[in-house]
Amino acid sequence: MAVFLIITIMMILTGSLGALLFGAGYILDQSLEDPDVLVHAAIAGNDVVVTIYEGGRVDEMTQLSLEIEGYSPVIKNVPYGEREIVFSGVAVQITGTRNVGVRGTFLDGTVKLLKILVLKFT
Amino acid sequence: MARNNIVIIGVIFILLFFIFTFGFSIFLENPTELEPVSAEHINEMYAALTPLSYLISDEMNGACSAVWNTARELDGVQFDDSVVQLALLKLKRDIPFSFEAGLFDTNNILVVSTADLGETMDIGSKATSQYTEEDFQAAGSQCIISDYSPLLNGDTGFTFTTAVYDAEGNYNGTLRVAIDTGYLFSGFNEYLRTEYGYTLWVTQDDGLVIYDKDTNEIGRNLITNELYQIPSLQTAVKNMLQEPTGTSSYLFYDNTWVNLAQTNTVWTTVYPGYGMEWRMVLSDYVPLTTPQESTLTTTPEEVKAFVENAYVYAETVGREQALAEFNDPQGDFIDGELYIFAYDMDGEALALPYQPGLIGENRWFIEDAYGVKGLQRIIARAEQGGGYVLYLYPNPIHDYAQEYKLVYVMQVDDSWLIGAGIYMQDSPLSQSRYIYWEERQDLTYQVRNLQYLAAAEGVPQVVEMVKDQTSEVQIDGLYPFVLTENGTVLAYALKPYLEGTDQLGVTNSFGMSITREIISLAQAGGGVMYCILEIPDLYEEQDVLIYVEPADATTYVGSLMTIG
Repeated sequence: MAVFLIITIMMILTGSLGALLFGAGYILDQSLEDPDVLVHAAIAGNDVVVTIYEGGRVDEMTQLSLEIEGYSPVIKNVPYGEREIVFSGVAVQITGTRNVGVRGTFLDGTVKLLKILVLKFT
Repeated sequence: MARNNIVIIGVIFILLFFIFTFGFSIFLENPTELEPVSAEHINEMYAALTPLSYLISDEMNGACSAVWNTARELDGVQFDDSVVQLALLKLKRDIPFSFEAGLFDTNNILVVSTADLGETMDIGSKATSQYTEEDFQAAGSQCIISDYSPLLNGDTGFTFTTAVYDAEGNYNGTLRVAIDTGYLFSGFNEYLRTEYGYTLWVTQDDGLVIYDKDTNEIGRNLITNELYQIPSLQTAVKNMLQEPTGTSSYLFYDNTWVNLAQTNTVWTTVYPGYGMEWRMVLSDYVPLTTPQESTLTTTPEEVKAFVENAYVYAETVGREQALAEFNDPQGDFIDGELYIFAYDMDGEALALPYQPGLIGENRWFIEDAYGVKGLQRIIARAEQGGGYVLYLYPNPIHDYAQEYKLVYVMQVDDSWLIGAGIYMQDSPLSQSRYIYWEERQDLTYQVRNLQYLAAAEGVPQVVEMVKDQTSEVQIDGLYPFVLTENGTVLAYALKPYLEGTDQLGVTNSFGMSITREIISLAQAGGGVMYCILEIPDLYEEQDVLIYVEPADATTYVGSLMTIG
C-alpha cells in the first residue's frame, strides 16, 4: 500500500513538473513568437546597448528591463522616439557567458519578454 | 502552311546566328594559343623566387633540428615532469609557424601539450597520424614530416614527429609539432605580391596544393580536381611534378572564372626533409591594382544600418526565407560590394551571394595572411550581440587579393549571425601595403617568449620584465602587455599608466570591446586579431595587430604592433 502511494505521488510530481516545464516553454515561445517590439542587445565595453527596431507597440513602450543571468534586473525609461537605450556600466566585472533577457513595459502596464539571447562577456 | 515553315526556319536561323555570335565572342575572349614569354621576364621571376625557396628550406631545417634537439632533451624524462611543459613551450616559441607542440605516449595518445592552457586540444586525444618505432628507426636522425592533413586542433597542416626514449633507451612515445602552412608561406606571398606583382602557390609532389592565396584552392589536387582539367594547365602540372625546377605557361581562369588568361610560372623545389619535395610555384598573373584614392563611398554607419535592416527582415520572415533572400544575387540585400553574409555559430556558411559554392562549407579555420582567423573573430563579436570587426578578406574585384575589411555583424539568435562589410581602400594592409614577415615573426616570438617565461619563472617575473623597458623581452616597435581574466592590466608597455587598472570596459571609436575580445581570444587558446587603439603620442587611433596567449589559467600575455 505504502509503495503504491509513493509511486502515485512520484507520478503526480513528475507529471506536474513536466506540465510546468512545458507550460513555461510554451508561454516563452508564444511570448517571443510575436514580440510587440523587436529589439536587440549587444555589449559595448561595460555597457549593454539595447536597440529598438520596430513593432506595433513600439510607441507605447515606456520602460526596458535588462536582465543578466546572476544579476538584478536594471530598468531604464524609454523616452518617446528613442531607438537606442544604453545600460551604462551594467557589464562592469561581468565575465563569461550569460543568458540575457530584455523585457518591455507598456503604457497599459503590461510587461512582455521581448528578447532572450546568450551573450559572451569575455 | 508553307508560310509557317518559312517563319520557323527564319527563327531557327536567327537563333543559330546568336548562338554562333556568342560562341565566337567567347572564343575571342579565351585564347587557345600561348604567347611566348621573354627570357628576361622568366629570369626576373626566378630572381624573386629563388631566395625565398632558400629561406623556406632554412626555416624547415631549423624547425626540424629544434624538434629533434628537444626530443633528445626529453629522453629519459618522465612525462609528468614540469621540465616537459617548459621544453614544449620553448619549442613552440622557437618555431613561429607552429600551431602547438605535444608529447604522445606509445599508444599515440596526447599526454602533454602547449595547448593545455587553451581549449583547442584535449589531453587524451589520439594522434591523427600513427607511427611505429620502426618508422623512426628508418627516419634516422630526421623528423618524420606528415602529408598535409587534418590536425588534432581541427586545423589543417603537417606535423614534425620524432621519437622520445626512456632512461633505458626504449621507445617511449613521440614529440610532435603541428605546422601552420598558411603562416609559413603567406608572409612571403604578401611580399611577392606587393613588391613584384607575383603570387606564390605550393604543392606537394603528388599534386596536392598546400598553399595558395585563395584558401579555397588549398587541399585540392592539381591532377584530379576538375577545376584544373585544362589541357595546357595539365601539361604544366605534369612538368612541375616531374622536374624539380622549370618554367611553364598555361591557361587558367581569371577572376571572372569564365574567361581564360595566360599565366606564366617558374618553380623550384624545397626539400623540407624526410624525402619530401614541395614545388614552390611563382605565377605572374596578378592584375595589380595601383594605390588609389579612397573609393569608400559607404560609411561604417551605413553598413550598420544595412545589417540592421537585414536583422529586422530575418526576425520578421524567419531564417529559411531570409537566407533565400540573402543568397539571391538579384535580391534586396545586395548593393554592389555591400551584401549580407550569414554563418552559423560553428562556422558553416549559410549565405554568401558572391560565393555560392561555399554554402554549406565549414569555414571556421579560414586564416588571413597574418594569421587572423577572420570568421572566428566575427563569431566572437556576434556572441557579444554584435558590432564591428576588422579582418582581411579576398576582394573579388582585385583578383581575390586579401584586403582590409570592416564588417558589422549581428547575432540573430544563438544559432546564426549576419553581417556585411566594406573594403577600406585607404587603410593599412590595403593592396600595396603589407606587414613584413620578420616583424610578424618578432611579434610571435615576443608573445611566445613571455608565455614560456611565465611558465619558467612565474607571472610576477614576466610582469616586471614587461614593465622594464630595458629587459630582454622588449623588441623595438612592439608593446607587450599582461592582463588578468577580469580585465586588470598588470603591465602594458604602450600605456604604463594603466597598470593596476580595470580595463574590461575599454572601447574604441567603433565600439569594439577591446579588452573583452583579447580575453576571449586568449581563453580560446590564443591568437591574432586586428583592432584600432589610441596611440598616446599621436593622440589618435591607429590600426594594430594584437597577438595574445594564455600564461596560466587566469593571466594572459600579449603584444601589439601598429600597422599604420
